[in-house]
Amino acid sequence: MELFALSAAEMVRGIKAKDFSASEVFASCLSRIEALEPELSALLALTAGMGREEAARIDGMIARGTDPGPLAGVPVVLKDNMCLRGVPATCASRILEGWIPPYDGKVAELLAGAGAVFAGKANMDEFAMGSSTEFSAFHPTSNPWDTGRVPGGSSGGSAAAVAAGYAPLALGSDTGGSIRQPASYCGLYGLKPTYGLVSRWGLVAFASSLDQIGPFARTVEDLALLLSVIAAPDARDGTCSPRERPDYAAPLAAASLRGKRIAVVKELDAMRSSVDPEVLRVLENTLNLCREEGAEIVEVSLPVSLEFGLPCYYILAPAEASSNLARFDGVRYGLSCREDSLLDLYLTTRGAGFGAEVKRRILTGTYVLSSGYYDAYYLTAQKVRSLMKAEFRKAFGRCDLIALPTAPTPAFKKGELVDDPVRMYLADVFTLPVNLAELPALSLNGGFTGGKKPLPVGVQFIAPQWGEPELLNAAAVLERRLGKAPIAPLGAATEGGNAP
Amino acid sequence: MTISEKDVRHVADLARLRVEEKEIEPLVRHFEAILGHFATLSRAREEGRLNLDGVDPFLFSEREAPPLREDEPVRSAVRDDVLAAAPERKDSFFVVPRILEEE
Amino acid sequence: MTFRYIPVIGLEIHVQLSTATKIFCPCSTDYIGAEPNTNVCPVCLGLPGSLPVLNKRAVELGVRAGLALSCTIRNHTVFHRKNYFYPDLPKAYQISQYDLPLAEGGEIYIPGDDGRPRRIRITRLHLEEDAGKLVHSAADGRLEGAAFSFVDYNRGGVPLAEIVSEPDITSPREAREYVARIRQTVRYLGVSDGDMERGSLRVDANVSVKKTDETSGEVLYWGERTEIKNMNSLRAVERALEYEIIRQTGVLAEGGSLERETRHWNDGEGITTSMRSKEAANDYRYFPDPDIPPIVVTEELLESTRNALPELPWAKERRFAGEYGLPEADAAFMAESLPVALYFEECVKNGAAPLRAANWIRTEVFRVMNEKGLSMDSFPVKPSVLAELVALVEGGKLSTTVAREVFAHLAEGRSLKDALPAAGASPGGLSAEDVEKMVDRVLLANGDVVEEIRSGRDPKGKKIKFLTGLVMKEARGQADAAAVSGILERRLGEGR
Ligand SMILES: [Mg+2]
Ligand SMILES: [Zn+2]
Repeated sequence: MELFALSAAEMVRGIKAKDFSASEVFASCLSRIEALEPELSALLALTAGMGREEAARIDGMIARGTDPGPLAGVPVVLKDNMCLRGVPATCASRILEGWIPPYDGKVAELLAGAGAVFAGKANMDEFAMGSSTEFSAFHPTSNPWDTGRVPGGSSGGSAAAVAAGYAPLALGSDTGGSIRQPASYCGLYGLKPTYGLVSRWGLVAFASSLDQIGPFARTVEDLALLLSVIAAPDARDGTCSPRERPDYAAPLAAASLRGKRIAVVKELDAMRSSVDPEVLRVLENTLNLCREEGAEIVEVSLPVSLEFGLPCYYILAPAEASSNLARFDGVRYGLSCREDSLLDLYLTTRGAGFGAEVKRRILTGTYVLSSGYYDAYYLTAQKVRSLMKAEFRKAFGRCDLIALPTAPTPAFKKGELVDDPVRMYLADVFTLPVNLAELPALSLNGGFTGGKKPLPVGVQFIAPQWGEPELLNAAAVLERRLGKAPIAPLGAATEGGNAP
Repeated sequence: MTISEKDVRHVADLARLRVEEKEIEPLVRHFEAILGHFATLSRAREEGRLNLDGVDPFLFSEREAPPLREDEPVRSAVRDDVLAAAPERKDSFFVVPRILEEE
Repeated sequence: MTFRYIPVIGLEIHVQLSTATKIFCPCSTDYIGAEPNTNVCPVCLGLPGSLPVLNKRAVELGVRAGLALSCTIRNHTVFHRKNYFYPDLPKAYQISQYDLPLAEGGEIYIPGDDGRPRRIRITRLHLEEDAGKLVHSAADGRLEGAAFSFVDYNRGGVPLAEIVSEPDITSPREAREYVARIRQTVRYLGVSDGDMERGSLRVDANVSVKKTDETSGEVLYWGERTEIKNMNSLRAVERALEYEIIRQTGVLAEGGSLERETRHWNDGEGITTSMRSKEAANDYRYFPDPDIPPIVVTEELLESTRNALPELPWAKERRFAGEYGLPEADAAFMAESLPVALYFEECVKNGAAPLRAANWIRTEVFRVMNEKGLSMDSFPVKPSVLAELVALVEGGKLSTTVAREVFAHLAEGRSLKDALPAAGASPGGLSAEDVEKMVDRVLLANGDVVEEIRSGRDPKGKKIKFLTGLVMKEARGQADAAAVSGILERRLGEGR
């Protein structure tokens, strides 16, 4: 097996045992990237030089007997909305084209401190606004399972990179489903942590009260490994919890669903017609496996979240975004269309720098906060958010986990929804209530669609606040039944994983 | 929910976004779609399926917050990089088109 | 019908809090004279990905000021974003407070126009971040008329307390008194240096004029209010308001109408000019800042802050008048600033008579301070030393004239022991016995004059004054003239 196809944990073990070097691992991933990138366009920047140096440094440490950390020599891809000092961070927007962050985000610091090696920055929907990575200002990314389809979004580049074997690990950000939905479309594990588990310092904000950084991986062990590294308190983020974080990877060997109550959601029944039958079949199958593993399947009701979550999200997220994106004004950094008057500097820079979807959201957000509309939209949506939170709290009185589809459909075709943004928003209907309620949720690959080009289909598990261990426990049990997430069958034959 | 072109122009103004004439109409339709979707809430409230009376708007999370910052100065190292990359700079100032003092 | 035009004034005062670091980042607040854009970091430059974290000290100072102004302190207080575009605002929103300010509903008393104390209600005190600075031309004029403005973010993010009054102020003089009172209070509290010239205390005034019926008092018309900016001294506040009230009254009296606008005070020309009409374009889209969790002001913080409040100027003034019997003006002067009040009380504690000590401080101490450009804290004559000097004068051992000379030497940094002989006074002054002996000597040496007086040939007391002068000369001014002539009269009477 080629080194790129190993899991992160296998890489660490091999590098520490000197079976192979970090430099060899990095070289293997690099050649994989170079082979597939023309087809996938998953990245916005490749950090080959930086990565090689870092890998060599890790090898030096190993040679000297120094422990480089839990991610020793593991290549990692960052979504392009995360600051890594000295490497451009564009957020896939023209307005930040060429901007080089002069500082490291918290996750970049933590990853470097754990011995990870940065392989590149991943493509995304502009400022994380989108569900297909087609709203990147630079180029769309292809789904490694079917290059005619989207990888999902907004963290589509990160998901495609891990699914294609660019790196065993990637970070995405999830504001309304932007980790879980691409994880589903690309057949991976993707976890959106509890709001406040991972620092947002250095994450370019989309909607501050919803954004959360989380991991992509092809194995549960890797997912837990990466989560353990990035889940840390941070005094520079006032919304990052100071609570102690457990080692998420340690208890996985003993994972069990015996006695766990896993809930299906009553309202899903009424929504069946708008959910792809394959998605429902995969969900059903996954729940059966849970039952076989000793879980009790119960039912809860989330009427507010499933009916009103979507409209509320599309009020609140744009409202915050309109304010967060106001700083891109051509004065201090990024695109600046110099004009004779200040007003024209603003209008031209922002008019030329933002793409259509970002403009739509900025304008929507500006509208709902503007004088006379605040109460009717923003405040009302916040009230509904309160109800959703209460509704989930009540539901978790009766279960340990809630199961839902991650997305209503498998990956859709490129171009299919670009001109119908509101229909594209529906792709988030099962994921965004989780962000509004600040909860953790995990998407795992529950199976594939039938047909000539099988597409992965994700299943989403939702836990109460700080319930990441519960999510990883369930995923570990199901991984034993379903197998690891496979590398997409692209390019040179790949082994390992469990291709359909 | 009726949105006018004037509404769109007004928010574009507030948001300092230059919107081309041909973009206005699609934006009006987009606003109507989004806000129309939101109007399902009002319908649900009228039908008694959604009761928001006395509900506290969930403005902030109930999580434990980290302690406030102590008043101890730390010098940041970003200054030179930021100035070097500034779109327009004079000495160590950022430069903008002239603003009249009494504007 | 005759009309009366009554001004209605409310003030918004922005006070820069005396913290070491900015309100949401650990950059230094020491921006005066600093090279542009040196005290900056990702947060106060608004770099993508940066986040604000509130400075604890700013909250403590805000609570202290709120309590001193008799406000109610909110136990949960929230920061909002005030959204607008301007180059000095790097995030295109100012983090400020909106409907849940730190402190509300306070009051402060000022000397009213009728001489009686007037209560001015404080609407609220809230915390917010300062903006950066725009430079429109360089000091050397090189950029005069240039096509650009220049932005410096050193001041951006410096913590401000905004103190908003109710429109309870009815004259420019009262406005001035109010600002002086607020400035004095924040200085007493150590919350701000309150320096208006340097911009650490900035005043915006909202002023309108209502037209009333002179006889019935009925309000006939309430003019639109204007907001006045750029008043950089107490004097400017008073002058700007005087101008603006006359202007508004004039417009109304001529049947014109006023427009809601912001006006700029031009100190050189002594006029206000229109800057922009307000509210038309402004829609700040306030919403709670999701990056900053609500601030909890604990009962402990409230209690400890309340207990640590210094005696406030008005209380001190009252006590000085009561406890030390100072006249009102002296009490006010001694309580005007905390360092002066401390100096004064230290003098008194060291045995100086309060009234005389107050006099010395008002005149000599302040004269020397002004001449030498010193502050009270660095004043070379310690209060205990001044107390000794004042006691010598009080005890008749030193004349005021010589004491002033001694004081001048003390102010040069000499000790009292060195200053007394330097001023020609003997250390320790003259005893009563010494004076008696001098009188004896003078009487002996001037037998003829004594004879003339005793025989009643000094109806106008000229001759006794002459003898007094001789004694004073011998005493090198260290004796008290009244005491000397007293002794002379007694002795001249004895021999009759
Ligand atoms: Mg203010
Ligand atoms: Zn700073």
